[in-house]
Amino acid sequence: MNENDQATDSSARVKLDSTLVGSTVSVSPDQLPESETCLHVRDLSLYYGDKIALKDISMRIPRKRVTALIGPSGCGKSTLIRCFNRMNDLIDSVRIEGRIELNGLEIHDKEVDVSQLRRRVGMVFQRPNPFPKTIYENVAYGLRLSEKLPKSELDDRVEWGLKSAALWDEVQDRLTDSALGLSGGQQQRLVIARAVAVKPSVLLLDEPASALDPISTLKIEELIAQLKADYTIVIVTHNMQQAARVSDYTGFLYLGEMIEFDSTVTIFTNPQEEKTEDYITGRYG
Amino acid sequence: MSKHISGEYDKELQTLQTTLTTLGGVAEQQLENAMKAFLTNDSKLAAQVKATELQINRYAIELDREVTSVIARRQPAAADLRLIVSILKNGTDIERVGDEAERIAKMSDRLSLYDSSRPYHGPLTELYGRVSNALRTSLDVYARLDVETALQTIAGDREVDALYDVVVKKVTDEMSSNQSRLTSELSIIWVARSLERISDHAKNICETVVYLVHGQNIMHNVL
Repeated sequence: MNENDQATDSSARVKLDSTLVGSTVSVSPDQLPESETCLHVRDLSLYYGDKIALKDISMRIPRKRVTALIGPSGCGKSTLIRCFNRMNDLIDSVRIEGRIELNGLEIHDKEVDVSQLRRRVGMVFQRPNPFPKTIYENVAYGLRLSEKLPKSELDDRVEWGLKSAALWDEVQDRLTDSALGLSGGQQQRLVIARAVAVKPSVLLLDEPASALDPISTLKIEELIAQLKADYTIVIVTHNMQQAARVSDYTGFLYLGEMIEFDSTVTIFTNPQEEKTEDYITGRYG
Repeated sequence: MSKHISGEYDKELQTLQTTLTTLGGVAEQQLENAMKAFLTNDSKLAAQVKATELQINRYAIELDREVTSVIARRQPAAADLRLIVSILKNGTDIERVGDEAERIAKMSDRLSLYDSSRPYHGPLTELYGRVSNALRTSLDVYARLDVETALQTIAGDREVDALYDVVVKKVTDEMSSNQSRLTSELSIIWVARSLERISDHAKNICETVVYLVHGQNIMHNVL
């Protein structure tokens, strides 16, 4: 074999490697079977009046995994996450095209009860928004609306919700205190407890830690890692390192378009699109 | 690639690359001086190589410190992350090239007189020529991100291995026919071994070029 043949041989081996990496280390969400898809977005476009905010987005959000949406302000991250539990229905000028299937069910179908949908797709916002009630009542509130439970069972579910949100140990002796007396980080975990108490299948987190100090942020990130055993989690974050730490998949949005959606490892080590590369390496001016 | 929003970040990455390039340049010169000292029995030059090795070690420590600082403060991602990983790995390889050059220089002391009339002289100087070329090319393709030439250089390492085997065979043949020069001839094998290892380091540097450009690890033929 001469030198050139050997060089060609090496080039061929580089191509082979790409197949190997794709099949074992970093599986793209598009390569996962349909049965592992929780939310299937098909050709989704959203308009605020004449202005287009989301452009023809298609993606498959894997079940019981954490999917992060990143992108600069105004790129459509929050608008997209709000589509998943039809929060955008509350805005008159909004028009939506395309489909979003939750476990195979089109969420815009007339038969779909929006309040039932929001039970299945819970949401947590940037600023903690506990009700001005007791810690117990904050968690029990949603349960009472959706289920008629005897007191003892309600107590169990409140405890379970608070334990799921890693808050129980800190509040078990003061369940009748006002939720407004909790710290910001505790309030955010209380809101998560409220969301998980009704046993949704999807949790949407819109900048859940951006108003919190670093320790509370880490507690929320730990919580996300634990919750993904039972829930499909979609998180919007401005903090790219947070996306890299907590998520299995990352989507990069820019000007309403899904530029790239792939495994988080691929996005943060070897993105395929130049725009993604520029954004995550801090090259957008 | 366009510049970072933070000009300071660009400067820091540039500093890392400059330190690595300087390190590479010194290691290249070390190899040249060490072989010259060995082939011409120049003990003064051999001593100079040994002294300069300390300088390489200082550069390597400085490079590690700079890389650690950038990782801690910037949390590099994507191409920046691959660049920093490649700088760290190449820094180690270049520092080891320096170690091998020093080893060659030390072999001068064990050699009574290098004899260029011996049958191993031809293959040994050819081996040196190829290794020196591979090292220079590896540093060059890393600077230019030239994947094609990097792959050719990686493939060329097999010929270096074959030449190394030839040198060892010639020296051991000499040893069996004339045992009076055993120590000297053993040092020829050690020098050939160091050259072969330097070629391996050059190959590693070329592999980081592929990693840097395509994000693919082709080390150890895990393909």
